[in-house]
Amino acid sequence: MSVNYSPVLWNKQKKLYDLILWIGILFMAVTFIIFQVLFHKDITLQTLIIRTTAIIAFFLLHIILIIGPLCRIDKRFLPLLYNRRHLGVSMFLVALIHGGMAIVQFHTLGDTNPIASIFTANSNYLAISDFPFQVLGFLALIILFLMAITSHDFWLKNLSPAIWKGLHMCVYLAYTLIVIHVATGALQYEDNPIYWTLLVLGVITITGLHLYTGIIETRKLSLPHTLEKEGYYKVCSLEEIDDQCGKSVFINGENIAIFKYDGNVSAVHNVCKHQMGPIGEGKIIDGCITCPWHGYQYLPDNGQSPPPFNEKLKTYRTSVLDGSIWVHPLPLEEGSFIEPTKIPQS
Amino acid sequence: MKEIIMIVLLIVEIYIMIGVVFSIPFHWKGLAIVDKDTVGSTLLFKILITPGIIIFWPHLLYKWKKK
Amino acid sequence: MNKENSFFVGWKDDMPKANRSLLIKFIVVLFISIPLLTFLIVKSQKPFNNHIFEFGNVKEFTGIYHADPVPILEVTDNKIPEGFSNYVLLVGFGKFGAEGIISNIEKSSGPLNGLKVTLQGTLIYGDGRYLMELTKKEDSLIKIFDEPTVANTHLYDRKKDGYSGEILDPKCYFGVMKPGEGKIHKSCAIRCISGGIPPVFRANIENGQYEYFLLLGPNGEKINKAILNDVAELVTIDGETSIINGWPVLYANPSDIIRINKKSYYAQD
Repeated sequence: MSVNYSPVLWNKQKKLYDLILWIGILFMAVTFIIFQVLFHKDITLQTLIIRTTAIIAFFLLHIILIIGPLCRIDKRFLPLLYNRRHLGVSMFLVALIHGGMAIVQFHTLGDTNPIASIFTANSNYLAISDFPFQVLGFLALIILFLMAITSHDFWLKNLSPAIWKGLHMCVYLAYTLIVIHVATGALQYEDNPIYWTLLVLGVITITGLHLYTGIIETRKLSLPHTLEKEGYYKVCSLEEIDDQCGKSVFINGENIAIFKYDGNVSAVHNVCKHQMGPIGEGKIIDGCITCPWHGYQYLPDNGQSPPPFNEKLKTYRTSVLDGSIWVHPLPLEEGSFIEPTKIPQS
Repeated sequence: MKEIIMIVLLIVEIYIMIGVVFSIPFHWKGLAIVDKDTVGSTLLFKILITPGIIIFWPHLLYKWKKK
Repeated sequence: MNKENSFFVGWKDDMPKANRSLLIKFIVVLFISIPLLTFLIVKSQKPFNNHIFEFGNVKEFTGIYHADPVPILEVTDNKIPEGFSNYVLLVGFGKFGAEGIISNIEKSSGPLNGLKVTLQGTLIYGDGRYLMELTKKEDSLIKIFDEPTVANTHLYDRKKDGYSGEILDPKCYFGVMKPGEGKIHKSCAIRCISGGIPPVFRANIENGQYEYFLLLGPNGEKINKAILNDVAELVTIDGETSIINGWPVLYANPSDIIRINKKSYYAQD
């Protein structure tokens, strides 16, 4: 997007989102602290802080990671995705308290630089149960830090969407590191099997949801027995796409979004310039294709964002024949105008 | 092991220090050159992107010199 | 369901009804699961010991200072409650032993070994043992009494012995941290022992009872750096035991510290 940057884009929906988020964080902290004080009155303040923030951050990370697949399964979850970055930054801040407190508690006031001590105190790198788990947590925190400091759209634009997306996909690496951090850390101390159960349940939920949606997506996108005529490929019947709606297809390696609107058919590249959202799952609003993820808009006939914005998508030639939609998978330059295909009146 | 870690830490410290120094002229001049949309943005916005400038200074320096 | 209404656009002020009703359900489920989850996690936790660190509360104690085998104050002014040994192990500020502070004090006051002194510091105690952190560093020495030096007390000669248990840093274990043992605390224990806090071997005696030994080399030398790798793990140690200045001592060669598998250990129980 263009036009001047604001520090934080808060609108009514985001404010409500952040309000519920922080009430949730405080609620979790309060219940956890109350139970600790009730059942473990000998706990120290430092341990209380370390454990409270650990539980909250790990729980939030699970929510962050299930939002993507949930939106794939049911689009009504999309509002959760819309402001996910605030959820991510909040999670980082909580994790930072955890990491900072653990470094202060376990590594400061000693004979070694505290950061060096994380890596060298326990140096059993070849062991499994004795693995220096704090190193994993520290590395995960660095990933989360890099994600948090680049969460503003300024970075999306100036690092380029591809690098930005790559960096933010590292959340999966961070999650893996944290799971092993927990498994080789706290779970080597606590011996109640409930902890392993919860950890495994979390991992199964996240990988399961991702695998499930992945399989569904691939099935949806692939066109197994499509017809080809003069470079055009048959996509579907006209009735298959609702009015003002789109469809995503994958032809000859091209990810294409086809839209049916006001008696016309147009096709653009299916990857939003903002955060690579699936344009084809969007809708035509006020004459513009609107991305389902963050509401970025493009004109269907030339793939350009309406002024003052300046994003441009590749466009594709379309055709309608015998009640079916056909598309030519050779893209035109980003922002190229293509006369929409008129749907013959029957 | 400890020696290697200390050397890596020193390199990271120097890298961050350069980033801190870089962020001053970058805010002053470079930011508006690299991304003209930042002209007229608020102080809070500039503070928010500063950690990123300190970390990604080589990338921004490259973009700045190219323009 | 009206399709027009079901498409969510973030920058619009209101959310379609279909989204709202699903999200309200989602949030309600989350808010109900949070206390259940925190309850389950907290309730299943290992209990903490009841050891105490009197943080921020500096007290004075008078007694005989012993440098052997490690800095100990044999408290003689009856300030130690019933059920606790009056041989107070001295440790430094942060993750350091007391020796650095003591040797700095001795530079101006002369040797302290065997003299009656008054020291100030912060108490750490639990399971029959007292420790004192020399929080005020070089200002920890309040007074040296003008009395003849007292010799070390050896309760009995060294005898062969062996136990299974865990090597701990006594400062954290006896009260500064919860838990001050095990994997979570391992790197901290390594840091403390590396910084000169005397390693203590918590030997499993029977019925969940512990005996605490100061761990030294075969000739009474310090082996802090040699045992770092075995700290906070379940080990067996064979060596010789004695009691010096109120503290059981285990003299062992670092190579006689053998790691044992947690599972096989519990199977033996």
